[in-house]
Amino acid sequence: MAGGIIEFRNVHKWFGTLHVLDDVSLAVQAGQVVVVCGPSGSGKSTLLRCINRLERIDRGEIVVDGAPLDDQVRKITRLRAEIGMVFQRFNLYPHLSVLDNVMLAPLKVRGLARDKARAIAEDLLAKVGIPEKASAYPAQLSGGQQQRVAIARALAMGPKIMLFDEPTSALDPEMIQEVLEVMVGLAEGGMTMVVVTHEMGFARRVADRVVFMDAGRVVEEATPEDFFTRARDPRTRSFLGKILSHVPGLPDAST
Amino acid sequence: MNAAGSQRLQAALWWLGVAIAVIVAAERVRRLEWAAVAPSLPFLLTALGRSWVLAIVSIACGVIAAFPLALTRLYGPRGLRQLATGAIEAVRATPELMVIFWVYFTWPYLAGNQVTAWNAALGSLSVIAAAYLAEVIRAGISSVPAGQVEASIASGMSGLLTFRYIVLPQALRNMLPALLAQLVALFKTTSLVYAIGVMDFFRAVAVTKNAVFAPYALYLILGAGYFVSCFAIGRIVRWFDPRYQLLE
Repeated sequence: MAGGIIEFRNVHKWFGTLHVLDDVSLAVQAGQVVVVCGPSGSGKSTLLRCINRLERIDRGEIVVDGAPLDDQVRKITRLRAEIGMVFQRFNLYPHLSVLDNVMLAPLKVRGLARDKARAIAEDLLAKVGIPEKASAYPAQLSGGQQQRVAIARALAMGPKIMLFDEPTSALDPEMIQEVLEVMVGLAEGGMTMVVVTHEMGFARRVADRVVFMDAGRVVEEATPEDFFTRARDPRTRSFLGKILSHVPGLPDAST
Repeated sequence: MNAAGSQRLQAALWWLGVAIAVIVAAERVRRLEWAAVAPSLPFLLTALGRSWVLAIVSIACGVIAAFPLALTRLYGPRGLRQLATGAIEAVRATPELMVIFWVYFTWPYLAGNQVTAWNAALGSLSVIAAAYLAEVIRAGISSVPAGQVEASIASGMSGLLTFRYIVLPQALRNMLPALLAQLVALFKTTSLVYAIGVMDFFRAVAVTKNAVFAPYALYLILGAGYFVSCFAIGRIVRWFDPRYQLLE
Protein backbone atom coordinates (compact mmCIF):
# COMPACT_ATOMS: atom_id res chain seq x y z
CA MET A 1 0.00 0.00 0.00
CA ALA A 2 2.79 2.43 0.79
CA GLY A 3 4.42 4.76 -1.72
CA GLY A 4 1.27 5.91 -3.49
CA ILE A 5 1.04 9.20 -5.35
CA ILE A 6 -1.60 10.17 -2.77
CA GLU A 7 -1.37 8.92 0.80
CA PHE A 8 -3.60 9.65 3.78
CA ARG A 9 -2.04 8.62 7.09
CA ASN A 10 -4.43 8.62 10.05
CA VAL A 11 -6.09 11.84 8.96
CA HIS A 12 -8.58 13.55 11.24
CA LYS A 13 -10.65 16.64 10.58
CA TRP A 14 -13.37 18.36 12.54
CA PHE A 15 -15.91 20.98 11.50
CA GLY A 16 -16.57 22.37 14.96
CA THR A 17 -17.65 19.29 16.90
CA LEU A 18 -18.43 17.27 13.79
CA HIS A 19 -15.79 14.64 13.12
CA VAL A 20 -15.82 14.76 9.30
CA LEU A 21 -12.70 12.68 8.75
CA ASP A 22 -12.13 10.03 11.38
CA ASP A 23 -8.75 8.30 11.18
CA VAL A 24 -8.68 8.00 7.41
CA SER A 25 -5.79 6.08 5.88
CA LEU A 26 -5.75 5.58 2.16
CA ALA A 27 -3.25 5.22 -0.66
CA VAL A 28 -3.76 5.84 -4.35
CA GLN A 29 -1.12 4.55 -6.76
CA ALA A 30 -0.14 6.46 -9.89
CA GLY A 31 -2.42 5.56 -12.78
CA GLN A 32 -5.16 4.22 -10.54
CA VAL A 33 -8.80 5.26 -10.63
CA VAL A 34 -10.39 5.33 -7.19
CA VAL A 35 -14.10 5.94 -6.79
CA VAL A 36 -15.27 7.28 -3.44
CA CYS A 37 -18.91 6.89 -2.53
CA GLY A 38 -21.06 7.07 0.55
CA PRO A 39 -24.15 8.74 1.94
CA SER A 40 -24.52 12.51 2.10
CA GLY A 41 -22.37 13.96 4.86
CA SER A 42 -20.06 10.95 5.03
CA GLY A 43 -16.99 13.11 4.40
CA LYS A 44 -16.24 12.00 0.85
CA SER A 45 -16.10 15.52 -0.62
CA THR A 46 -14.03 16.72 2.31
CA LEU A 47 -11.60 13.85 1.74
CA LEU A 48 -11.22 14.91 -1.89
CA ARG A 49 -10.78 18.60 -1.03
CA CYS A 50 -8.00 17.76 1.42
CA ILE A 51 -5.88 16.38 -1.41
CA ASN A 52 -5.34 19.82 -2.97
CA ARG A 53 -5.62 21.58 0.35
CA LEU A 54 -8.93 23.34 -0.24
CA GLU A 55 -9.54 22.01 3.28
CA ARG A 56 -6.93 21.78 6.01
CA ILE A 57 -6.64 18.75 8.21
CA ASP A 58 -6.40 18.77 12.00
CA ARG A 59 -4.36 15.63 12.59
CA GLY A 60 -2.42 13.05 10.61
CA GLU A 61 -0.56 13.49 7.38
CA ILE A 62 -1.30 13.66 3.68
CA VAL A 63 1.51 13.04 1.20
CA VAL A 64 0.92 14.03 -2.40
CA ASP A 65 3.46 13.28 -5.11
CA GLY A 66 6.14 12.50 -2.54
CA ALA A 67 5.79 15.69 -0.49
CA PRO A 68 3.82 16.07 2.74
CA LEU A 69 1.19 18.83 2.59
CA ASP A 70 2.07 21.68 4.91
CA ASP A 71 1.12 25.29 5.39
CA GLN A 72 3.56 26.93 3.01
CA VAL A 73 1.40 28.87 0.62
CA ARG A 74 3.91 28.79 -2.24
CA LYS A 75 4.36 25.03 -2.06
CA ILE A 76 0.63 24.43 -1.94
CA THR A 77 0.06 26.73 -4.92
CA ARG A 78 2.76 24.90 -6.88
CA LEU A 79 1.26 21.54 -5.95
CA ARG A 80 -2.24 22.63 -6.98
CA ALA A 81 -0.92 23.36 -10.47
CA GLU A 82 -0.23 19.59 -10.75
CA ILE A 83 -3.70 18.55 -9.57
CA GLY A 84 -6.74 19.15 -11.74
CA MET A 85 -10.12 19.53 -10.07
CA VAL A 86 -13.64 19.29 -11.45
CA PHE A 87 -16.52 20.58 -9.36
CA GLN A 88 -20.15 19.61 -9.03
CA ARG A 89 -21.30 23.09 -10.09
CA PHE A 90 -18.67 23.41 -12.90
CA ASN A 91 -17.47 26.82 -11.64
CA LEU A 92 -16.49 28.02 -15.08
CA TYR A 93 -15.48 31.68 -15.20
CA PRO A 94 -18.58 33.40 -16.59
CA HIS A 95 -16.75 36.50 -17.80
CA LEU A 96 -14.33 34.54 -20.00
CA SER A 97 -14.97 32.65 -23.22
CA VAL A 98 -14.61 28.87 -23.21
CA LEU A 99 -11.18 29.16 -24.79
CA ASP A 100 -10.03 31.76 -22.25
CA ASN A 101 -11.36 29.60 -19.40
CA VAL A 102 -9.09 26.80 -20.56
CA MET A 103 -6.11 29.04 -21.37
CA LEU A 104 -6.04 31.18 -18.23
CA ALA A 105 -3.99 29.03 -15.84
CA PRO A 106 -1.50 27.82 -18.51
CA LEU A 107 -0.90 31.48 -19.45
CA LYS A 108 -0.68 32.94 -15.96
CA VAL A 109 0.74 30.04 -13.93
CA ARG A 110 2.87 28.18 -16.47
CA GLY A 111 3.77 31.35 -18.38
CA LEU A 112 3.10 29.69 -21.73
CA ALA A 113 3.12 31.76 -24.91
CA ARG A 114 -0.35 32.67 -26.13
CA ASP A 115 -0.28 30.60 -29.31
CA LYS A 116 1.05 27.56 -27.45
CA ALA A 117 -1.66 27.82 -24.78
CA ARG A 118 -4.24 28.30 -27.49
CA ALA A 119 -3.09 25.18 -29.33
CA ILE A 120 -3.31 23.13 -26.11
CA ALA A 121 -6.76 24.52 -25.33
CA GLU A 122 -8.12 23.85 -28.81
CA ASP A 123 -6.71 20.35 -28.71
CA LEU A 124 -8.39 19.63 -25.36
CA LEU A 125 -11.72 21.11 -26.45
CA ALA A 126 -11.60 18.73 -29.41
CA LYS A 127 -10.80 15.88 -27.04
CA VAL A 128 -13.85 16.60 -24.86
CA GLY A 129 -15.95 16.88 -28.01
CA ILE A 130 -16.86 20.59 -28.19
CA PRO A 131 -14.26 22.29 -30.42
CA GLU A 132 -16.99 24.44 -32.00
CA LYS A 133 -17.79 26.14 -28.66
CA ALA A 134 -14.36 27.73 -28.19
CA SER A 135 -15.58 31.30 -28.52
CA ALA A 136 -18.88 30.78 -26.65
CA TYR A 137 -19.41 31.96 -23.10
CA PRO A 138 -20.29 29.50 -20.31
CA ALA A 139 -23.86 30.82 -20.01
CA GLN A 140 -24.47 29.74 -23.61
CA LEU A 141 -23.61 26.08 -22.91
CA SER A 142 -25.65 23.21 -21.51
CA GLY A 143 -24.63 21.74 -18.16
CA GLY A 144 -22.97 18.76 -19.81
CA GLN A 145 -20.99 21.01 -22.14
CA GLN A 146 -19.96 23.24 -19.24
CA GLN A 147 -18.69 20.26 -17.29
CA ARG A 148 -16.70 19.03 -20.28
CA VAL A 149 -15.13 22.49 -20.59
CA ALA A 150 -14.32 22.30 -16.88
CA ILE A 151 -12.54 18.99 -17.49
CA ALA A 152 -10.61 20.51 -20.40
CA ARG A 153 -9.69 23.47 -18.20
CA ALA A 154 -8.30 21.14 -15.53
CA LEU A 155 -6.40 19.06 -18.10
CA ALA A 156 -4.82 22.15 -19.69
CA MET A 157 -2.34 22.32 -16.81
CA GLY A 158 -1.10 18.83 -17.64
CA PRO A 159 -1.97 17.51 -14.16
CA LYS A 160 -0.59 14.32 -12.63
CA ILE A 161 -3.80 13.78 -10.68
CA MET A 162 -7.42 14.61 -11.47
CA LEU A 163 -10.00 15.09 -8.71
CA PHE A 164 -13.72 14.91 -9.48
CA ASP A 165 -16.20 16.14 -6.88
CA GLU A 166 -19.60 14.69 -7.87
CA PRO A 167 -19.09 15.78 -11.47
CA THR A 168 -22.47 14.57 -12.71
CA SER A 169 -24.70 15.36 -9.72
CA ALA A 170 -25.82 18.74 -11.04
CA LEU A 171 -26.55 17.46 -14.54
CA ASP A 172 -29.78 16.52 -16.23
CA PRO A 173 -29.90 12.74 -16.81
CA GLU A 174 -29.41 12.96 -20.58
CA MET A 175 -26.14 14.88 -20.09
CA ILE A 176 -24.54 12.56 -17.56
CA GLN A 177 -23.38 10.12 -20.21
CA GLU A 178 -21.44 12.65 -22.29
CA VAL A 179 -19.44 13.68 -19.21
CA LEU A 180 -18.85 10.09 -18.08
CA GLU A 181 -17.58 9.18 -21.57
CA VAL A 182 -14.88 11.86 -21.29
CA MET A 183 -13.94 10.56 -17.84
CA VAL A 184 -13.77 6.97 -19.06
CA GLY A 185 -11.47 8.11 -21.86
CA LEU A 186 -9.20 9.79 -19.31
CA ALA A 187 -9.13 6.71 -17.10
CA GLU A 188 -8.26 4.48 -20.02
CA GLY A 189 -5.47 6.89 -20.91
CA GLY A 190 -3.80 6.13 -17.57
CA MET A 191 -4.70 9.27 -15.60
CA THR A 192 -4.61 9.03 -11.81
CA MET A 193 -8.14 9.86 -10.75
CA VAL A 194 -10.04 10.20 -7.49
CA VAL A 195 -13.74 10.45 -8.23
CA VAL A 196 -16.49 11.16 -5.73
CA THR A 197 -19.60 9.88 -7.45
CA HIS A 198 -22.65 7.70 -7.19
CA GLU A 199 -22.34 6.59 -10.81
CA MET A 200 -21.81 2.94 -10.04
CA GLY A 201 -21.78 2.02 -13.72
CA PHE A 202 -18.70 4.23 -14.09
CA ALA A 203 -17.13 2.60 -11.03
CA ARG A 204 -17.67 -0.88 -12.43
CA ARG A 205 -16.27 0.05 -15.80
CA VAL A 206 -13.05 1.88 -14.92
CA ALA A 207 -12.38 1.94 -11.17
CA ASP A 208 -9.42 0.02 -9.81
CA ARG A 209 -10.84 0.41 -6.34
CA VAL A 210 -14.04 1.60 -4.74
CA VAL A 211 -13.95 3.27 -1.33
CA PHE A 212 -17.09 3.49 0.74
CA MET A 213 -17.26 6.12 3.47
CA ASP A 214 -19.74 6.57 6.27
CA ALA A 215 -19.65 9.06 9.16
CA GLY A 216 -16.11 10.20 8.32
CA ARG A 217 -14.63 6.71 8.19
CA VAL A 218 -13.47 4.50 5.35
CA VAL A 219 -15.79 1.56 5.89
CA GLU A 220 -14.97 -0.52 2.86
CA GLU A 221 -12.24 -0.51 0.24
CA ALA A 222 -12.33 -3.12 -2.49
CA THR A 223 -12.08 -3.84 -6.18
CA PRO A 224 -15.34 -3.08 -8.01
CA GLU A 225 -15.92 -6.81 -8.46
CA ASP A 226 -15.71 -7.51 -4.73
CA PHE A 227 -17.40 -4.25 -3.79
CA PHE A 228 -20.57 -4.94 -5.75
CA THR A 229 -20.82 -8.67 -5.11
CA ARG A 230 -19.09 -9.41 -1.80
CA ALA A 231 -19.28 -6.24 0.34
CA ARG A 232 -18.25 -7.15 3.89
CA ASP A 233 -19.78 -4.33 5.91
CA PRO A 234 -23.55 -4.22 6.44
CA ARG A 235 -23.52 -0.42 5.95
CA THR A 236 -22.04 -0.90 2.50
CA ARG A 237 -24.63 -3.51 1.62
CA SER A 238 -27.45 -1.28 2.80
CA PHE A 239 -26.10 1.69 0.85
CA LEU A 240 -25.66 -0.38 -2.30
CA GLY A 241 -29.15 -1.75 -1.88
CA LYS A 242 -30.52 1.78 -1.88
CA ILE A 243 -28.63 3.21 -4.82
CA LEU A 244 -28.50 0.13 -7.04
CA SER A 245 -32.20 -0.64 -6.81
CA HIS A 246 -32.91 2.02 -9.44
CA VAL A 247 -29.98 1.29 -11.71
CA PRO A 248 -31.06 -1.43 -14.12
CA GLY A 249 -28.53 -3.92 -15.37
CA LEU A 250 -26.44 -4.05 -12.24
CA PRO A 251 -26.46 -6.95 -9.79
CA ASP A 252 -28.44 -6.40 -6.62
CA ALA A 253 -26.01 -6.00 -3.76
CA SER A 254 -28.04 -8.07 -1.36
CA THR A 255 -27.75 -11.22 -3.43
CA MET B 1 -68.94 48.64 -27.83
CA ASN B 2 -66.48 45.76 -27.73
CA ALA B 3 -63.55 45.50 -25.32
CA ALA B 4 -60.87 46.37 -27.88
CA GLY B 5 -62.76 49.48 -28.98
CA SER B 6 -63.22 50.71 -25.42
CA GLN B 7 -59.53 50.18 -24.78
CA ARG B 8 -58.63 52.23 -27.84
CA LEU B 9 -60.93 55.05 -26.69
CA GLN B 10 -59.32 55.03 -23.25
CA ALA B 11 -55.85 55.26 -24.79
CA ALA B 12 -56.94 58.14 -27.04
CA LEU B 13 -58.36 60.05 -24.07
CA TRP B 14 -55.20 59.44 -22.09
CA TRP B 15 -52.96 60.80 -24.83
CA LEU B 16 -55.27 63.78 -25.35
CA GLY B 17 -54.96 64.58 -21.63
CA VAL B 18 -51.19 64.28 -21.77
CA ALA B 19 -51.02 66.55 -24.82
CA ILE B 20 -53.17 69.23 -23.16
CA ALA B 21 -51.03 69.09 -20.00
CA VAL B 22 -47.81 69.44 -22.02
CA ILE B 23 -49.16 72.38 -24.05
CA VAL B 24 -50.41 74.20 -20.94
CA ALA B 25 -47.11 73.56 -19.13
CA ALA B 26 -45.07 74.72 -22.13
CA GLU B 27 -47.10 77.90 -22.38
CA ARG B 28 -46.62 78.60 -18.65
CA VAL B 29 -42.87 77.93 -18.97
CA ARG B 30 -42.66 80.24 -21.99
CA ARG B 31 -44.21 83.06 -19.98
CA LEU B 32 -41.67 82.77 -17.14
CA GLU B 33 -39.15 85.57 -16.53
CA TRP B 34 -36.55 84.37 -19.06
CA ALA B 35 -35.48 87.86 -20.12
CA ALA B 36 -34.44 88.65 -16.56
CA VAL B 37 -32.47 85.41 -16.24
CA ALA B 38 -30.68 85.48 -19.61
CA PRO B 39 -27.77 87.76 -18.57
CA SER B 40 -26.97 85.36 -15.69
CA LEU B 41 -26.78 82.24 -17.84
CA PRO B 42 -22.97 82.29 -18.37
CA PHE B 43 -22.55 82.66 -14.62
CA LEU B 44 -24.90 79.74 -13.97
CA LEU B 45 -23.22 77.50 -16.55
CA THR B 46 -19.79 78.25 -15.10
CA ALA B 47 -21.14 77.24 -11.69
CA LEU B 48 -22.54 74.02 -13.14
CA GLY B 49 -19.07 73.33 -14.54
CA ARG B 50 -17.69 73.92 -11.05
CA SER B 51 -20.11 71.33 -9.67
CA TRP B 52 -18.85 68.89 -12.27
CA VAL B 53 -15.24 69.56 -11.30
CA LEU B 54 -16.14 68.99 -7.64
CA ALA B 55 -17.88 65.72 -8.52
CA ILE B 56 -15.15 64.40 -10.83
CA VAL B 57 -12.22 65.25 -8.56
CA SER B 58 -13.90 63.97 -5.39
CA ILE B 59 -15.05 60.76 -7.09
CA ALA B 60 -11.56 60.18 -8.51
CA CYS B 61 -9.94 60.72 -5.09
CA GLY B 62 -12.75 58.69 -3.52
CA VAL B 63 -12.17 55.69 -5.78
CA ILE B 64 -8.43 55.77 -5.15
CA ALA B 65 -9.07 55.66 -1.38
CA ALA B 66 -12.08 53.33 -1.60
CA PHE B 67 -10.18 50.34 -3.05
CA PRO B 68 -7.68 49.99 -0.18
CA LEU B 69 -10.48 50.67 2.31
CA ALA B 70 -12.70 47.95 0.85
CA LEU B 71 -9.82 45.46 0.53
CA THR B 72 -8.73 46.13 4.11
CA ARG B 73 -12.27 45.66 5.36
CA LEU B 74 -12.52 42.36 3.47
CA TYR B 75 -9.09 40.80 3.79
CA GLY B 76 -7.08 42.95 6.21
CA PRO B 77 -5.63 41.74 9.50
CA ARG B 78 -7.91 42.17 12.50
CA GLY B 79 -6.85 45.58 13.80
CA LEU B 80 -6.67 47.25 10.39
CA ARG B 81 -9.93 45.65 9.36
CA GLN B 82 -11.75 47.18 12.31
CA LEU B 83 -10.12 50.55 11.66
CA ALA B 84 -11.32 50.56 8.04
CA THR B 85 -14.79 49.42 9.08
CA GLY B 86 -14.94 52.14 11.73
CA ALA B 87 -13.88 54.89 9.33
CA ILE B 88 -16.33 53.80 6.62
CA GLU B 89 -19.24 53.47 9.03
CA ALA B 90 -18.50 56.76 10.82
CA VAL B 91 -18.75 58.70 7.56
CA ARG B 92 -21.79 56.78 6.34
CA ALA B 93 -23.66 57.16 9.62
CA THR B 94 -23.29 60.95 9.85
CA PRO B 95 -24.90 63.65 7.68
CA GLU B 96 -22.79 64.68 4.69
CA LEU B 97 -23.19 68.33 5.70
CA MET B 98 -21.58 67.54 9.04
CA VAL B 99 -18.55 66.01 7.31
CA ILE B 100 -18.24 69.17 5.23
CA PHE B 101 -18.41 71.35 8.37
CA TRP B 102 -15.88 69.15 10.11
CA VAL B 103 -13.36 69.54 7.33
CA TYR B 104 -13.97 73.27 6.90
CA PHE B 105 -14.20 74.38 10.55
CA THR B 106 -12.56 71.68 12.65
CA TRP B 107 -9.56 70.91 10.48
CA PRO B 108 -8.05 74.44 10.82
CA TYR B 109 -8.59 74.21 14.57
CA LEU B 110 -6.82 70.83 14.79
CA ALA B 111 -4.08 71.40 12.21
CA GLY B 112 -3.56 75.09 12.81
CA ASN B 113 -3.66 76.07 9.13
CA GLN B 114 -6.51 77.64 7.20
CA VAL B 115 -8.25 75.78 4.39
CA THR B 116 -10.04 77.54 1.59
CA ALA B 117 -13.71 76.74 1.12
CA TRP B 118 -12.88 75.17 -2.25
CA ASN B 119 -10.25 72.82 -0.81
CA ALA B 120 -12.51 71.97 2.12
CA ALA B 121 -15.27 71.14 -0.36
CA LEU B 122 -12.98 68.89 -2.40
CA GLY B 123 -11.59 67.23 0.73
CA SER B 124 -14.91 66.55 2.41
CA LEU B 125 -16.59 65.33 -0.78
CA SER B 126 -13.64 62.99 -1.36
CA VAL B 127 -14.00 61.57 2.14
CA ILE B 128 -17.71 61.02 1.59
CA ALA B 129 -17.12 59.45 -1.82
CA ALA B 130 -14.43 57.15 -0.41
CA ALA B 131 -16.69 55.80 2.33
CA TYR B 132 -19.71 55.15 0.12
CA LEU B 133 -17.70 53.78 -2.82
CA ALA B 134 -15.74 51.48 -0.49
CA GLU B 135 -19.02 49.80 0.42
CA VAL B 136 -20.05 49.52 -3.24
CA ILE B 137 -16.69 47.89 -4.03
CA ARG B 138 -16.88 45.59 -1.02
CA ALA B 139 -20.39 44.44 -1.98
CA GLY B 140 -19.18 43.82 -5.54
CA ILE B 141 -16.27 41.69 -4.39
CA SER B 142 -18.45 39.75 -1.94
CA SER B 143 -20.93 39.02 -4.72
CA VAL B 144 -18.43 36.77 -6.53
CA PRO B 145 -19.30 33.16 -5.59
CA ALA B 146 -16.78 31.24 -3.47
CA GLY B 147 -16.73 28.51 -6.13
CA GLN B 148 -15.05 30.93 -8.53
CA VAL B 149 -12.16 31.49 -6.15
CA GLU B 150 -11.92 27.75 -5.42
CA ALA B 151 -11.78 26.85 -9.09
CA SER B 152 -9.05 29.39 -9.65
CA ILE B 153 -6.80 28.49 -6.74
CA ALA B 154 -7.35 24.78 -7.43
CA SER B 155 -5.80 25.35 -10.86
CA GLY B 156 -2.63 26.69 -9.25
CA MET B 157 -3.43 30.40 -9.52
CA SER B 158 -2.07 32.45 -6.61
CA GLY B 159 -4.35 34.63 -4.49
CA LEU B 160 -3.18 37.72 -6.36
CA LEU B 161 -3.74 36.20 -9.82
CA THR B 162 -7.15 34.96 -8.70
CA PHE B 163 -8.14 38.43 -7.52
CA ARG B 164 -6.88 40.11 -10.67
CA TYR B 165 -8.32 37.75 -13.28
CA ILE B 166 -11.32 36.10 -11.59
CA VAL B 167 -12.67 38.19 -8.71
CA LEU B 168 -12.11 41.75 -9.90
CA PRO B 169 -13.67 41.52 -13.39
CA GLN B 170 -16.81 39.87 -12.02
CA ALA B 171 -16.96 42.24 -9.05
CA LEU B 172 -16.73 45.31 -11.31
CA ARG B 173 -19.52 43.96 -13.47
CA ASN B 174 -21.73 43.19 -10.46
CA MET B 175 -21.17 46.55 -8.80
CA LEU B 176 -22.23 48.66 -11.80
CA PRO B 177 -25.88 49.25 -10.80
CA ALA B 178 -24.93 50.20 -7.23
CA LEU B 179 -22.05 52.29 -8.56
CA LEU B 180 -24.39 54.21 -10.86
CA ALA B 181 -26.79 54.95 -7.98
CA GLN B 182 -23.89 56.04 -5.79
CA LEU B 183 -22.31 58.34 -8.39
CA VAL B 184 -25.65 60.06 -8.96
CA ALA B 185 -26.06 60.50 -5.20
CA LEU B 186 -22.52 61.90 -4.96
CA PHE B 187 -23.18 64.39 -7.72
CA LYS B 188 -26.22 65.65 -5.86
CA THR B 189 -24.21 65.78 -2.63
CA THR B 190 -21.94 68.40 -4.22
CA SER B 191 -24.83 70.86 -3.76
CA LEU B 192 -24.23 70.78 0.02
CA VAL B 193 -21.00 72.77 -0.29
CA TYR B 194 -23.10 75.86 -0.88
CA ALA B 195 -23.26 75.96 2.93
CA ILE B 196 -19.56 76.86 3.20
CA GLY B 197 -19.73 79.47 0.46
CA VAL B 198 -18.45 77.57 -2.59
CA MET B 199 -20.11 78.94 -5.70
CA ASP B 200 -21.40 75.64 -7.07
CA PHE B 201 -24.47 75.35 -9.28
CA PHE B 202 -26.88 75.29 -6.35
CA ARG B 203 -25.41 78.41 -4.73
CA ALA B 204 -25.18 80.21 -8.06
CA VAL B 205 -28.90 79.71 -8.61
CA ALA B 206 -29.65 80.93 -5.08
CA VAL B 207 -27.45 84.01 -5.56
CA THR B 208 -29.05 84.82 -8.92
CA LYS B 209 -32.49 84.48 -7.37
CA ASN B 210 -31.60 87.16 -4.82
CA ALA B 211 -30.39 89.50 -7.56
CA VAL B 212 -33.21 89.13 -10.09
CA PHE B 213 -36.77 88.21 -9.30
CA ALA B 214 -37.30 85.12 -11.41
CA PRO B 215 -37.72 82.25 -8.94
CA TYR B 216 -39.68 79.84 -11.14
CA ALA B 217 -37.40 80.11 -14.14
CA LEU B 218 -34.39 79.64 -11.87
CA TYR B 219 -35.82 76.62 -10.07
CA LEU B 220 -36.55 75.10 -13.45
CA ILE B 221 -32.95 75.71 -14.51
CA LEU B 222 -31.76 74.23 -11.21
CA GLY B 223 -33.76 71.05 -11.70
CA ALA B 224 -32.79 70.74 -15.35
CA GLY B 225 -29.08 71.23 -14.55
CA TYR B 226 -29.00 68.38 -12.03
CA PHE B 227 -31.26 66.16 -14.09
CA VAL B 228 -29.14 66.45 -17.23
CA SER B 229 -25.95 65.93 -15.22
CA CYS B 230 -27.20 62.80 -13.45
CA PHE B 231 -28.61 61.46 -16.70
CA ALA B 232 -25.21 61.97 -18.30
CA ILE B 233 -23.54 60.07 -15.44
CA GLY B 234 -25.90 57.17 -16.08
CA ARG B 235 -24.92 57.15 -19.74
CA ILE B 236 -21.21 57.28 -18.94
CA VAL B 237 -21.43 54.37 -16.47
CA ARG B 238 -23.48 52.29 -18.85
CA TRP B 239 -20.86 52.85 -21.52
CA PHE B 240 -18.50 50.75 -19.37
CA ASP B 241 -21.01 47.93 -19.09
CA PRO B 242 -19.47 44.90 -20.75
CA ARG B 243 -21.63 42.93 -23.11
CA TYR B 244 -21.11 39.46 -21.72
CA GLN B 245 -23.65 37.78 -19.51
CA LEU B 246 -22.79 36.85 -15.97
CA LEU B 247 -25.12 33.90 -15.70
CA GLU B 248 -24.05 30.39 -15.05
